[in-house]
Amino acid sequence: MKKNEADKNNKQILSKQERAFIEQMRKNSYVLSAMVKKNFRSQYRNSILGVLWTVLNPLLNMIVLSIVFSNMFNGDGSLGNYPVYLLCGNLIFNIFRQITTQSLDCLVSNSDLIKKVKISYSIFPVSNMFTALVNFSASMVAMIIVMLIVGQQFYWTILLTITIIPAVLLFSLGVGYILSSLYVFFRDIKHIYEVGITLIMYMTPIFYAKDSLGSEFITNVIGLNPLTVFVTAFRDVIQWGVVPSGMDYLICYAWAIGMLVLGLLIFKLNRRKYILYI
Amino acid sequence: MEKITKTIKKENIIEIDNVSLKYNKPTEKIGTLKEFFVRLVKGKLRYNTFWVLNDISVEVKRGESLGLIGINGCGKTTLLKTIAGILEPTKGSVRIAGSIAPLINLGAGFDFEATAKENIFLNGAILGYSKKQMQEKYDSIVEFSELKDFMNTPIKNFSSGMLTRLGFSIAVDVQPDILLVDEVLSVGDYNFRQKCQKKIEEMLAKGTTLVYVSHNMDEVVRLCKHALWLKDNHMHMYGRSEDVVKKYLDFCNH
Repeated sequence: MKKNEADKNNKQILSKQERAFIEQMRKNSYVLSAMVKKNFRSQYRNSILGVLWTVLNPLLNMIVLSIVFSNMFNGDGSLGNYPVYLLCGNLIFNIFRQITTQSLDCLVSNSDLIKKVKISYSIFPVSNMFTALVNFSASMVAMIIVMLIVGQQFYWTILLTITIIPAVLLFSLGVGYILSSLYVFFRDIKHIYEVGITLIMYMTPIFYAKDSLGSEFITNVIGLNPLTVFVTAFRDVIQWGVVPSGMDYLICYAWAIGMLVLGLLIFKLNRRKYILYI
Repeated sequence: MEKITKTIKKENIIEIDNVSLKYNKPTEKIGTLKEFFVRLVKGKLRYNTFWVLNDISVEVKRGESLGLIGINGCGKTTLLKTIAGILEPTKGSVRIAGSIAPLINLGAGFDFEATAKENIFLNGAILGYSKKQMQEKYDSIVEFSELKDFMNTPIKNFSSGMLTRLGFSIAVDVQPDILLVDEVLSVGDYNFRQKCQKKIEEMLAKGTTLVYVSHNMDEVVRLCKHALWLKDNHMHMYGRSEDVVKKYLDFCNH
């Protein structure tokens, strides 16, 4: 009885708009899960190993890179366990790459839906974000396997991963919003971004140390790259057992929220035009 | 954010108020770099705009039905999409009081590699139903579609008639306040068409309002109380469906 009363009160407190918003969110979450499922279906369609590839892919990648770069960048062992160092960088960068490249053409590739049904457009990049999150979780299995094999010490701080990943996700989502919006009007963005993502990869210390490139200017540029901040924090908790400082968190989430707000702003600003151009 | 300047009148279920809609008409493809710069300077890079709907105003009372007629390209489907909320009017406003079931484009977002069953849930999600609702509806959807034996088949193997059946069955398994129909019924075999028509008439009998785009004038007169004739993207005539259809047929046979 008391619960009912509380519910009633709740309902009165919530305005009509708020209730509509909650209802909308509930519906959206179902569409979202259906879309993430669809993404996975198409990702591993007709492959024999199927979903196992989410674990194998980062593993094999890491092996290739560590064979190539191990001696070049980690001759003195200052990067710790090189395979782990590499994998940390790769996992974070992959989140960013997946979300941004998939979001780039999401409005155009979903033109069928946008033209035919009433649907909230902002849901498409979000579904890519959740797909990337699932992929990342599978990759963490690969990470733990590697850590066991190479004898990396486990720290409790590994649990802090869940405080860092949201920042990476939201930041990438923000970039994804901007790219998907621009792509509707300038299709050349796709080709520019292909080069861009390579540049961003080399500007992120994935397989080298932040300050190993020999030029102070380049070190500073790399330091300004938000992905560097994310990668460094992730390595802190996985590799070194260090709790990132409050300042680190502040910078991480300032980038994440700043980029998300900017992305949403640009995305919403053009909202009414998309349907006319796709 | 939509500005709500007026509230809907009690007896009305749809109010379309001075709605105009600007659309982009793609110009021919740009072939060369030189052409690109020429157009850039002229400011005519990719699209010319034109008004696909001009100052349309119409009200539909609860339980009454509206037929939209006119030649191809006059804006009928665009108006229907505007009512459905897929397109937003550039000027003016559309006010709706009730739930809408759009039978405009069936099977939007179908994943052709996935099975029919998976697609029922995917399409249902896209149409705005919750998981629970879909689980409840699933059996009746399957039954209506008469595709029970094909539920675990990827729909890339379906014929176009089967796809339409599936799409229609998902879309129509509701009791909406407003039903938007865009000539989707002209596909499928004879039996299924009869079945669809029966289903729609059942809904109408229960008080659903119909907005109907069709070139079948007998149907329009039979199903709709009022009709709106769109000509050259403007409202040309509005009134009792018999009168409008008569004038329209006179115009066509002229």
